[in-house]
Amino acid sequence: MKYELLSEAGAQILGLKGRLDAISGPELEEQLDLQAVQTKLIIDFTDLAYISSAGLRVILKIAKTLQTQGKSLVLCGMQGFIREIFDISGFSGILNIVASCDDALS
Amino acid sequence: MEASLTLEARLQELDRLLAFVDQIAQSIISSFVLQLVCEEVFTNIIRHAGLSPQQQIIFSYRSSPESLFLSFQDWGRPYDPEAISPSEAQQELEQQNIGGQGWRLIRHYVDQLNYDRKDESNILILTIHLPRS
Amino acid sequence: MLNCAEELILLAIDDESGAFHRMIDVNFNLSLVGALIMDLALRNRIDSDLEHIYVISKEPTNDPILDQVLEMIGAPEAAGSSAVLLRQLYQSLENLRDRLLKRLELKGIIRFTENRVLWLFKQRRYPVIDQKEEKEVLTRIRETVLTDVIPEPRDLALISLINSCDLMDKIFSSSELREHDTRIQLLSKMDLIGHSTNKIIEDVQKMIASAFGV
Repeated sequence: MKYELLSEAGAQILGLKGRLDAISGPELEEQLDLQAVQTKLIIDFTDLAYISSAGLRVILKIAKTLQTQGKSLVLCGMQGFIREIFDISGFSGILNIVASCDDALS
Repeated sequence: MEASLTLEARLQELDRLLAFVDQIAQSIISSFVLQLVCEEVFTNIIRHAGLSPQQQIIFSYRSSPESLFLSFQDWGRPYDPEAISPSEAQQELEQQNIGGQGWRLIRHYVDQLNYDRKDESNILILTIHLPRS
Repeated sequence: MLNCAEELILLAIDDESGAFHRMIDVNFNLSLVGALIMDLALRNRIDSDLEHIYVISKEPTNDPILDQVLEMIGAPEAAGSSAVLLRQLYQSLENLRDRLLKRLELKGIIRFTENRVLWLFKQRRYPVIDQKEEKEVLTRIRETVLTDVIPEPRDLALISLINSCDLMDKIFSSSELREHDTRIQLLSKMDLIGHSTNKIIEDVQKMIASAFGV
C-alpha cells in the first residue's frame, strides 16, 4: 500500500484505504513523512474498512508528532465501525474528528 | 458450525487468519468485530508466548444458536526474561508494531474469556453471546 | 529521574504547609505500590493481560525500589493473578512511603522533618539531569487535564492513580474539576495502547473499594 499526501486548500490530506492493522499500520508509519505537512493534516477515513488497536496506535503517534511540531490534525469520513473503535478506546475524546471531509477542509 | 485453522506463530499469518475469519463470519456476526477480536488476541499471543515461527497456533471456531466460541491454542511459554533486554523487547515490539494491547476492545465485544493450561499448551476461549452484530 | 511513586508523593504534598494532603493511608500506600508496578510496565520490564502480570525482562532499572519489586514479581512464589500480586507486594514492601521520601531527600528535591515536607527550591523543580530539566509532575498533570494536549502514557497512569486515592481535589479546584469533568473521565479510562496498565489500576481501585482493604 502506498500512502500519498495530497495538498488542497492549504492543508495536506492523507487518504487511508483498505485496512489499518498490525501489518499495514507499521507500513503507514514508515512511509509517512510528516515534515511534508505544513500546518494542517487531514486524514480521510472514507475508504478505510477496518482498524485495530495497532492502527489506533499509529494514528495516535501521528497526532502526537504533529502536536509537538505545532501542526493541527483533523480526522474525517469515518464509517460506523471505525468511529465506534475510536469511541470505545477513548481516542475520539482527545482527537479532532469531524464527520464530513468537506468540513475538515474549511 | 465448526471450523479450525492452523497457523504459524508469525505476525505475517495475520492476513490468513483474518481472511478465514471473514469467511466464517457470514450473517451470524459482524465480520469486522470477529476479525478485530481475533487480531487482538493473535497479536498478543505472538507477543507474549515466546514462540518460534515454526511453532503453531490453532484457531478454532464453534457456533451454537446462542453463542460463538473462539479458541486459540498455543504451546508457548512467556518470554525468557534472562535472555531479552527491555530495549530489545521494545525494539521487537516496534519492529513488529504489534498492537495486541487492545484488551479494552476485546472486553467490549467479548462476553466471556477463559484461560486454561492443558498438556503444556495455553488455551484461550472467548465467548460471544448472540445476537451481536 | 523520578519514578512514578516518587512523583505521586510529590503530588500529595501541600506546597504551603508542607503537609501531606488528607488521605486514607491504606489507599495512598496501595496507590504507591500500584505506581511502582506501572512504572515497571512503562519501562517494559513487565506486562499484563486481562488476568496476570508477568516479567518480560529482568534487566535492572538502576532504581533499587523498582528492582526490588521486579524481583518480587518474578519470584516463584509470586502470584499469577495481578490482584493477589498487588496484595502480596503491599504486604511485603515495608515503610514504602518513608523510603521514597528518603530518596527524594537524597536527590536534593525535598527535606522531610517532623512530618513536614520542605521543597529545597523556591518552586517545584527537579534537579537538572543530563542537562535536561524535566517538567515537574504537577505542571504536567494539570496541563494534561486542562489543555487538549495528547496525553503521555505515564501521565495517564498517574491521573488514574490520583483518582483512586482522592488527590484530584488537591490538584484541581472544584470549578476546574467541574469544567473538565468529561476530559477527566475520559483520561482516567483511556486504554494505554502499548502499555497494559489498565488492569493494574483496576486492581488498585478494587482493593481500595473493598471493605476489608488489605
